[in-house]
Amino acid sequence: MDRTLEKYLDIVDKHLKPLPASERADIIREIKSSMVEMETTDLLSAQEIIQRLGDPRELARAYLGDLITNNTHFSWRKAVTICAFYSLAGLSGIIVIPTLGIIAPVFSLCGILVPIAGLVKLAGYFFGFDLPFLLFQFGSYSPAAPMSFILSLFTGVILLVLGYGSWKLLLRYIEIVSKKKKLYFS
Amino acid sequence: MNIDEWKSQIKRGTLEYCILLMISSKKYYGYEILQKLDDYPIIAAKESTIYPLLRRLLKEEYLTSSWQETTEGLPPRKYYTITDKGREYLYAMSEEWDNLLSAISDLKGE
Repeated sequence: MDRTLEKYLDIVDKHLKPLPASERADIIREIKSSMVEMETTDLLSAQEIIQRLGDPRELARAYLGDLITNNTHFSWRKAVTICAFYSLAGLSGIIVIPTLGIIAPVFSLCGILVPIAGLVKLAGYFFGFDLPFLLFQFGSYSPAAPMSFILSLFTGVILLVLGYGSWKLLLRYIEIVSKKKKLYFS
Repeated sequence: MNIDEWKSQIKRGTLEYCILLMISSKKYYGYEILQKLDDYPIIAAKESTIYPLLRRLLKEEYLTSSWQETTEGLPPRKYYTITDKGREYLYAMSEEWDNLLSAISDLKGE
């Protein structure tokens, strides 16, 4: 394709910036397709094609026309929606993000530390030491070292699952909020 | 006398109707629509009018589009087809158009 036509398309693309990339690509592809059509079936020169299409900025603006009028139009409905969105997202975010943000790594860390402690206790038991500062206790129930180790493994897995779960939950929450935001403000 | 201004107003008001009428009979690609419109000076339009208009009709779900390969070795073309919603819209427009025509013929005293 002719260099001047490529350049023309570049300018149009640049001025379509406010649109999503996929939409822009589609628009450019369609204009390009009709440029080739003019070139091959109507035997127009690059110069003639550009003359026909007119100013590239003008062409891009024609595509944006609807978008601009839609966006600058003020409505109370929209304003209320925006306020409601930020109130809800802000309030829930204050609680949800820090809670999950702390829980996720701490649970995961404990999930690793607990079995290690159990293992140390077990090793001590085999070598004949009792380590009183390492103790598995559930209410008044406190088993001997081998059982403590098994229970600590079990607890570790539960903690890791909880940690992973809250991490996923946090990501999901953020995803939903940003999706909703896009929905309201697009 | 400025007939051009009036003509461009007519064009603006009827292009949507003309394009839907065309696409209701068969699928068209953008450049084909432009060429067809060129046959009638009163509705002949430029790319910068037609392509954004087609885009709006797509957004409003009166049309759907699909890219199709060509047999002549040209790049793929974006074909437009009318939807059921588009047909409903077209039907309503046709009714209003008939109303307009009969009003005008009445006023002419025919």
